[in-house]
Amino acid sequence: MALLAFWAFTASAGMVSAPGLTAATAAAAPVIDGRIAEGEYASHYVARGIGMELHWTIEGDSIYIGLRAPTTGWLAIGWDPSGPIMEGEDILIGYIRGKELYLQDYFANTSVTHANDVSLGGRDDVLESSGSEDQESTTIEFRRRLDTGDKFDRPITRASHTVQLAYAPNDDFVTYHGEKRTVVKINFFEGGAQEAGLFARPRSREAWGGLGSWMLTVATGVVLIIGLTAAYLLWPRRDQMPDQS
Amino acid sequence: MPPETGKIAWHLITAELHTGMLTLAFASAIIRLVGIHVTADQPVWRGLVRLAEPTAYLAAIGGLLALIASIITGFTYTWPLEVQLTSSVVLNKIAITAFSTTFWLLFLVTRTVYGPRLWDHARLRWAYAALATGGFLTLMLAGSTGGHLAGKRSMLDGILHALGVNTHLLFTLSTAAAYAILIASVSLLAAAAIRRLIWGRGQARRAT
Repeated sequence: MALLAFWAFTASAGMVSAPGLTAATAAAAPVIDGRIAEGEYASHYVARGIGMELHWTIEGDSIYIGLRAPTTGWLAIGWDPSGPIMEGEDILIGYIRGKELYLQDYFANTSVTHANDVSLGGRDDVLESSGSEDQESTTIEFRRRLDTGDKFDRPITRASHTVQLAYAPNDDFVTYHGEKRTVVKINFFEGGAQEAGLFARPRSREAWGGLGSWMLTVATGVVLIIGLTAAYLLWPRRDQMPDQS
Repeated sequence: MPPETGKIAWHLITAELHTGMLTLAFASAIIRLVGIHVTADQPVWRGLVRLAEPTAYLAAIGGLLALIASIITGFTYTWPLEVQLTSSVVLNKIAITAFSTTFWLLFLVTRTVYGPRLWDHARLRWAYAALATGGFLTLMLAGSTGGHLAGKRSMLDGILHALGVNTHLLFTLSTAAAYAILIASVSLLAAAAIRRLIWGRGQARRAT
């Protein structure tokens, strides 16, 4: 417990990361109150590069997650992309405006965009949530099931997961995070954590081949519009051509 | 807040601006077209039709400038280029925006070349209205794609799904189809130019 308290202290101070540490068990399920107390969660990871903290506890069929980042805008966690960057990733993103928490269950429908699960035909599977904000940081806590059954969610299993943490300075779900993003491999059950580099799965060289076809398509469309219009206007019909003299 | 984060607002402002102005240009062009066939004596309608012509032209000029500004701010103030070019939705939006820009550019060129007299010639006014319609439809499609990029849905989703259009999948033509369309377009244009030249010489001979 002393070791856990030490890591909790370093996490709250934003000093070091804690790769590989955890697997400890919290005395009780965390309280979803928008505050992350020392030792409240069984495990945690500090993304040293961006100064963001991730805390979690697995209790029964649920996972409790606490996020804290040095921002007053949105913060997010996502896991298990199936394509390049964040495509196919299960995302929880939220921000505090006034005293109110806006937390939504999202799904990365493309490599760089995400949409609310509900808008895609899924469900919002956050069971409880709370958050707080001061002048320098935002804290968000929530609980959801390990396996929600929603096709726009990714189940948390005993395997290692590719987890992305990010935040941005604005209270919305859109502003680009810029460099405030990191990717880490985490085993939520055993607690191992390892930095995985910025891009979870870089786009393969073959995939970029489509860009040439796309450029040709754009050029074809533009030439078609210009060609048809110009041909129509140039085609002489003496009874209808305007006198340009 | 880092200074660069507020710059995305410029893209939102220019996007709203060009959408509003080009929609006004489209609506004005259609009102002017309808005004040729519906000649009611009501002064309001007649005034509307009279104002529609310059409104369409001026709104299109402002809209096209805002559209170009929107393209620039989109490339520079939203996401890094590397990220933009990775997204099929962004690539589709760029393609549709290119088509829309072409339509509106031709709309302005047509009006600038022929002046307001183009409304006196059926074929010119139909071409003019068709360009405005093409520009407006592609503008709506680009806006719908932009809605998805912003993490929201679009009012056009139902229609697009019914038509089997998925803006999340990268739309590309096969190389053979693209070249066939390119060759056909250039050939048609060349044929029209040659025919125009021959017709012009015939006119000149008759005049002498």
